[in-house]
Amino acid sequence: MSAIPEGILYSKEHEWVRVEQGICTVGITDYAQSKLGDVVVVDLPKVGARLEYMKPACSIDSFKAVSDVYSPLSGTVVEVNPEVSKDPGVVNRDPYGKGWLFKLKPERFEEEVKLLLKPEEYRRLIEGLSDA
Amino acid sequence: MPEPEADSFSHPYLGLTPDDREEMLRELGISSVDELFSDIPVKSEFHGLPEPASEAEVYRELFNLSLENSNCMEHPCFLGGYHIHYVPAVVQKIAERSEFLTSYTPYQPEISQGLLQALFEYQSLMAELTALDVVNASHYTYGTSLGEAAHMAHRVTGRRKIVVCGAVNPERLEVLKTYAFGRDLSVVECGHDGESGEANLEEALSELDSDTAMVYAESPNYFGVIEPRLGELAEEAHRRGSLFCQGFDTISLAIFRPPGEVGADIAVGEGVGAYPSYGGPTLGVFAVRREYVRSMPGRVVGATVDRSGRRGFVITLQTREQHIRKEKATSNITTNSAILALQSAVYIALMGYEGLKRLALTVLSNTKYTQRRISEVKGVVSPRFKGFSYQDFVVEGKINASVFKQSLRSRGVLGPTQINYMGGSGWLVGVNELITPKHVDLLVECLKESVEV
Amino acid sequence: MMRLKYRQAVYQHSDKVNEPLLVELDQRSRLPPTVPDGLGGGVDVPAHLARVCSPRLPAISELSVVRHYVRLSQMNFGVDNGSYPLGSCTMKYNPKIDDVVAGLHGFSMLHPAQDELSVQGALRVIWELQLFLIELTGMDAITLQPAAGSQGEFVGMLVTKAYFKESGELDKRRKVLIPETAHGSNFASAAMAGFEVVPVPMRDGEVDMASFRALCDDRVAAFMATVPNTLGLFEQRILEISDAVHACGGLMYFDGANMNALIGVVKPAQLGFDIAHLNLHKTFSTPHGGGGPGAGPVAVKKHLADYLPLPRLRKSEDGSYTWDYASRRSIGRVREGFGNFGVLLRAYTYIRTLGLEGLRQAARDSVLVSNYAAKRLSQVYSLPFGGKPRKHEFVISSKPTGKRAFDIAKHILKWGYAPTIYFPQLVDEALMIEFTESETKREVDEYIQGLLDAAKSDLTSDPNNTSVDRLDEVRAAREPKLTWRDLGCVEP
Repeated sequence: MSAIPEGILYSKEHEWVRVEQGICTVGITDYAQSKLGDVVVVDLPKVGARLEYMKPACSIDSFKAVSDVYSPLSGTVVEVNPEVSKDPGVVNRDPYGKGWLFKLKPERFEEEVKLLLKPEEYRRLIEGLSDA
Repeated sequence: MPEPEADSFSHPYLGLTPDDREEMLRELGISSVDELFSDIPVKSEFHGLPEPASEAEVYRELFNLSLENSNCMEHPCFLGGYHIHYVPAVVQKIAERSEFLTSYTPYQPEISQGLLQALFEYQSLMAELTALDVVNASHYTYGTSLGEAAHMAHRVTGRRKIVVCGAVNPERLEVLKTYAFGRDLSVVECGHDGESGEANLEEALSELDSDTAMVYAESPNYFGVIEPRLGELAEEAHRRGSLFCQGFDTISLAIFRPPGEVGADIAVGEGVGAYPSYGGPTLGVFAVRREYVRSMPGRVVGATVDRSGRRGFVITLQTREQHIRKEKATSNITTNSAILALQSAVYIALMGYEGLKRLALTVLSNTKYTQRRISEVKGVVSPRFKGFSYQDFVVEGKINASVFKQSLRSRGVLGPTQINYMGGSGWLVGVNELITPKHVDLLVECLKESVEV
Repeated sequence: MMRLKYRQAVYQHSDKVNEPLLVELDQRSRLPPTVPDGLGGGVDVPAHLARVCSPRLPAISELSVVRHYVRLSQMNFGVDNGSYPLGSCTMKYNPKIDDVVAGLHGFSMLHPAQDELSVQGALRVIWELQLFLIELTGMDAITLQPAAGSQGEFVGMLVTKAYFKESGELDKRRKVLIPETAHGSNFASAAMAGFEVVPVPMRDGEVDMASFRALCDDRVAAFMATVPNTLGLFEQRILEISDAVHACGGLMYFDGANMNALIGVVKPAQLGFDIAHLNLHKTFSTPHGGGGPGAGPVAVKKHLADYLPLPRLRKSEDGSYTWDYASRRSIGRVREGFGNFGVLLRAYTYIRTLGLEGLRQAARDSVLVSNYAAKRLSQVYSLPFGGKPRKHEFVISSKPTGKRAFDIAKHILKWGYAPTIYFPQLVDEALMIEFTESETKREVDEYIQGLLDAAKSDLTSDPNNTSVDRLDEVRAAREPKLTWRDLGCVEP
């Protein structure tokens, strides 16, 4: 069973968001990393890039698959995690902690945050997926 | 209702006997193989295809057909643009090994270590020769490597202009333009210096702008001239955020500055260790600096370990490739030139650095010798371009083309070929280590007969 | 039942290293092999043009080189070693006569710049092969230039682009529709030609007609289909699809990588296709060489002939052949020379020895054997979209066995090569199997039994018969070591 910590929000495409002082930290969920398998490359967005709600922000290569990471909110990238470039396996080992991907300053927070899922809602989503 | 096919045909290449077919049909609970094709709405008729023939008949016919061609080992050959060298017997014998020749792309690496290691060694040998960090497991040809280089430069820089400097092989230039058409890139050609045959750097630099994805030059160039100022070109390209790509001749890398030493980001060239087979199959070398490895097209082999900690080899960085990344892949390439990569590696392994150097110096010596001998023909300028040349060179003069061609044919000499360039036309002469003074005598005689004094 | 067991040779240098790398065999003081002396005496390379750093190439005796590669060859597996039922790859027997013909000096030692008069024999082979392939596809014109199937696809897409550019519709027609059941290279090739790729969903293993109709409009440049598709199924409504695409003004592209099921049975042109490529290294038996070379001729209907690459071969009234470089509309060259002539010769020899009757029987046998094996394996594995006849290959899933396709593949290396796995991605735990017409019934039965047994076996320690055991592919991708310099075999 995949870990779904409380206190953060989720997207339907298996990203998580932690909101702290107006800045949102984004990563992929435990469920997503387990489906991807061993991550070998994370292609991060550039600092300063403008991301749009649920549009591809960057991509993650696992050993034999490539997946887009969608931005759960619109906004500007203010920081990326250099650790995941050096040691991509950290995304598998600690997806909610050291394996975070990027931070963004949201633009339409109030309207878009309502579209994200609460932990319980996300749990129901992945339970509904056939192979969860 | 048409008559069901009998499925009684037997041939040494087919594994099933009529009885096997019967048994399989029984297992499937059907009476004819036709039922397995019932989902196809059309049944075609075919005309003009051959009847089955015995191996003996087909061999004899094709053997005789092969004798209708003049081959470049039997005949003196002075054709340029594509370079033939003697292929040591070992190379051919190794490439014929069934375990290599009849294998597929090594997707299950544990059972394919032999080929994977051979490809890893090919990559290593070519990386040494080009003085670049990474070489892919091969492309189709020199020219298709160039086409892919343009696509890669576009991907890396987001720009659309390809600047071609100096005299580039025209067939290769056409291939580049065809690939450019695919991605809607523009190709701008810059000329050469009329005296030296070297790239006109000033003209090239004036073309560099903020939309330039890649600058390309070849050395030796189409006229056989070694480009002396590639370092400057690479530096200027980098200053404007463009990539620099150099085309090279593999054997000449043993004596001339390799792409890595002039600052190239990408290098493209031709394999070694195979006879030309009328131009194909051949191998395109594709080499890059390390920072571009994930943008590089094509398959690549990497080293790893097995569960016992033993060194082993696998196809790696596969997520760049079409079977995974589909329309976002770095290229559509699937089949490449693996067996020719093996041949290139065996060839280089047999020669070693010293052997390649000696060979390149022999070709250089033969170039100068042939140039000198031709220059003794009255009314012929040899070489036409005064830059330092290797392997190929151009001669110019009042040569009657049809007389010259007839004269070459009557003496059984292959080449040279007539070429056009900015401000004139001449004949492209190519030499290798296989030419003898007698061959050159014949060429000189032909020229003497054809000069209109 | 008798069953072949396979144990691969392994030359072990140490616990950590099997056969050493070339650079580890270096005998530094060895003198180089002799090459002919230069005719003009010594020539100095000017310093500003000369190489500065020496490349680290080994110097090795000839016998050591031979042994190195013979050992490597024994740590490799090809069709000549055993069955190689790699789905989507058509690993059939590569007749030896084809190699012998391609190696005749009057063919192998021809320079591409030779005068046409000196290569008439070679040109005749090219001409006749063109006629054969035109007849087999039902098209009107062909190019043998493309070096491989995927380059053929690229050519087909560029022909499409040039065609609509001339008609002035290119700005509008940007979409290429590709069924999900197509090869990955189709998507990549359409993108390389600058088109927008639009996947068409499948239903019951074939194109979903409702989705297709919703996508088919006047912005479609082409519909690109792999026939039979990657599930081994024939698109039964292909005529309906081609009618709809043509009604919208689009072109139909046939990916002929799977032509082994249809050769001598049906012409792609009669299914409504305008462009078709063939893979000579699959259907026409030329050896894959561990990944290449191949050849990917592209045949087209009359209205597209002028767009094919240059040069095109012409036959004069006196029976002689010449290359024609003149066509205003051509997309241009896609490679130097005229094609992979050595591959073309092998394919030509193959067609001549088998004849139409043999080609057709090959297609029928490949389909028969595939259905037979699919049926037997479906006792233990699941066969998606059962009930439909397969063509030359089929896809099963190992899900009902509770085993991963990956583990099964590693296990059956014991009897020879594994099937293609995890492709197509449409089926979970997919194993894609293609025997071809070359295998005998006994070999097919042995292989089936091996797969049936695998479902009941402990697979965790496999493979244990190969020169290495399971390799760490994740490490290879995370820390790429792509040369011996990367491995630290050479002092920097």
